[in-house]
Amino acid sequence: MSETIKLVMSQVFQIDPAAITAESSPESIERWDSLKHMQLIMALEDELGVQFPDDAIPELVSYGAIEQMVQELTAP
Amino acid sequence: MAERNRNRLSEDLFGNLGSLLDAIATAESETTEWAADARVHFLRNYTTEFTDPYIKYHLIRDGIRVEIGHGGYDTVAQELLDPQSGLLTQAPDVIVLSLLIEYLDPEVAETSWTADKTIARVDEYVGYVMDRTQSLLVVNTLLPPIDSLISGEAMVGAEAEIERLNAHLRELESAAAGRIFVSEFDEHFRESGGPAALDRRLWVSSQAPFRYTFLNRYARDIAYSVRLLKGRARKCLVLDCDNTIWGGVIGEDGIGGIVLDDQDPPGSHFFEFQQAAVALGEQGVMLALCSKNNEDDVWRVLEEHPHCPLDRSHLVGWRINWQNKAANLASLAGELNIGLESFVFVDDSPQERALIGEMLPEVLVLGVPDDLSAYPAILTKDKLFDTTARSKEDRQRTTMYQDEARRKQDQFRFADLTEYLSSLATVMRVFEVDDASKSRVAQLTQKTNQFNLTTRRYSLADVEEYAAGPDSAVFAMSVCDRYGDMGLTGVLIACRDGDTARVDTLLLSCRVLGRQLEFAFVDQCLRVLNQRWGDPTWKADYLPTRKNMQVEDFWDRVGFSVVASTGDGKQYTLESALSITDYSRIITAELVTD
Repeated sequence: MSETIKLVMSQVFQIDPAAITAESSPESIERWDSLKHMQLIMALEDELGVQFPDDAIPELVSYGAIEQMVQELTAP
Repeated sequence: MAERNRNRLSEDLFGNLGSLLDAIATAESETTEWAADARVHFLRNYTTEFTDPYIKYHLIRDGIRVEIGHGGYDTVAQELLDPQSGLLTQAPDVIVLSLLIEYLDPEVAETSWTADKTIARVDEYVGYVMDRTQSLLVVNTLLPPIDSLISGEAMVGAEAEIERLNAHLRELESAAAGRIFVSEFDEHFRESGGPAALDRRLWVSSQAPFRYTFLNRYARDIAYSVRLLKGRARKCLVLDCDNTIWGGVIGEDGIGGIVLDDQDPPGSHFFEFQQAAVALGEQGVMLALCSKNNEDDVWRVLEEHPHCPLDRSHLVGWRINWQNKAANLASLAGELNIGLESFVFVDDSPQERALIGEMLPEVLVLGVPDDLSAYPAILTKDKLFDTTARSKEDRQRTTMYQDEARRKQDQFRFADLTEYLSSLATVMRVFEVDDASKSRVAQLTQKTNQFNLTTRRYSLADVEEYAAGPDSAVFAMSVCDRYGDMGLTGVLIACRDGDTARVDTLLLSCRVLGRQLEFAFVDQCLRVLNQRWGDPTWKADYLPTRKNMQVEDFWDRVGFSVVASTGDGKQYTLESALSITDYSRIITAELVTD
């Protein structure tokens, strides 16, 4: 799953997936602005088949936060 | 290699945004030779950025590299009017005027709303694009407010008015055929599944209401205009025969055995596919055949089969033989005197498609989908063809679209803005208000918001009083050019107090902006009054409102100096003469005095 998240981030931001760490965020990824953020959310939902709760979306601004949220959503 | 990357771009990616963005980025970075470059600029009042991947999808497949810009929110007029704006300095190939009604006129929700003001506003925007740019224009029809579409609450009165507005847009399109393209949002909305076309969450979070099903249809319209402009719209459809325009193999199955029927599938899918091809032919697309058959067998089907819409008279050429199809297509191109980049070739055989893909990469190659019910739509769904030529008669009509060569000529003809403006042969008539004009003058003071220095609203009685007084004057300006008469479109009111005089009101209708008329008008009025009032010291004000920012430095620009500036406005005085660039080359000023 973490590989998938990194893959989607690399697709949306056009960066090397190996360079993504838990702290990767708009601070460290130049292209990560508010529009790209929504594209990232849509791309993650397409790829993972999940839907993020509306109020969580603005909080998902680091790889770590996304991974944690996806874990919660996909937990059995 | 580059071709292969482009061909990797397929509709299958639409359901997965990450893969789509990645495929686009890969195609962009790995393509070394582009057939053309294009620049598209959105003038918009909502979030349009999410359309970009779909525009790129359509154009990259045609070898067109596109740069897409988006203007500020709701700054359409400003960007079109400011010669320094990114829009005007970058000279985009296509301007996309992308508008939602709720931001265009928030009063749309009121029961008494009419579209009049909105129509005037859209006219103004379209007029600016026509007059001030060389760009093609794509403008959308207006949808009812997104919130009402989401909630499903009909707005019966407003919908009729919006339809009136949309009808007006279509009239603009047909009046400026080839320069203005209307993207039918209401149709795209229906075809994308109505409310399913909308993304409530993206609307709330980002003011971006549309899902990709809708965005793709919109992008297709935009891509179509770019293709036309770049001479990349396809002009010729070449069809294989067996298993392409009918099911089965004519040489084996015979005329009674092939699958082609006007009623029942699967034959009806081939029938409808042929109908779509014939319809394109009627819109000016050239039709041709290229197949490995005995020629007589093919003609027999076209002439004798009871359900074969395609007819020999529809065809501009054919290569029905056992030669290599790449050689056949190349010789067809020579015969028809068009480039291979104008061809779309449809063939069911993967081997034949691969051959053309390798040998003639300019040709767009389409296959026959496994699901035949999707087959008839493949010719039209991506708006690949130039359908502006329509009939032979229409083809002779001169329209503005066609090729860049012509547009370059135009640009050349107008080496600069001054030259263009002087070509308009503008005549400005300046006169003191009279009985015939006073009510129009009062009306302009009441409704002009943007180019209005003080926004003082006057009644008819007020205007009469100013006009009659010995120490005040009301001037009006009417304008005409070679396109017609724009009527009374400017007002200046001045008052004298001893040896000072003040410009009480200066306003111009937006329709006449961008032509230096505002400067000429002030110049003419002050000349008259200087003589009449013995060179008084001039004062003027700028009183800011929410809508008149564009004139906040007007007085500075004509040579006035600020003497006081507060939140309520700026007061000016004119210390020497007006400083106005010579406008005599572009405006003929006629002063009418009693």
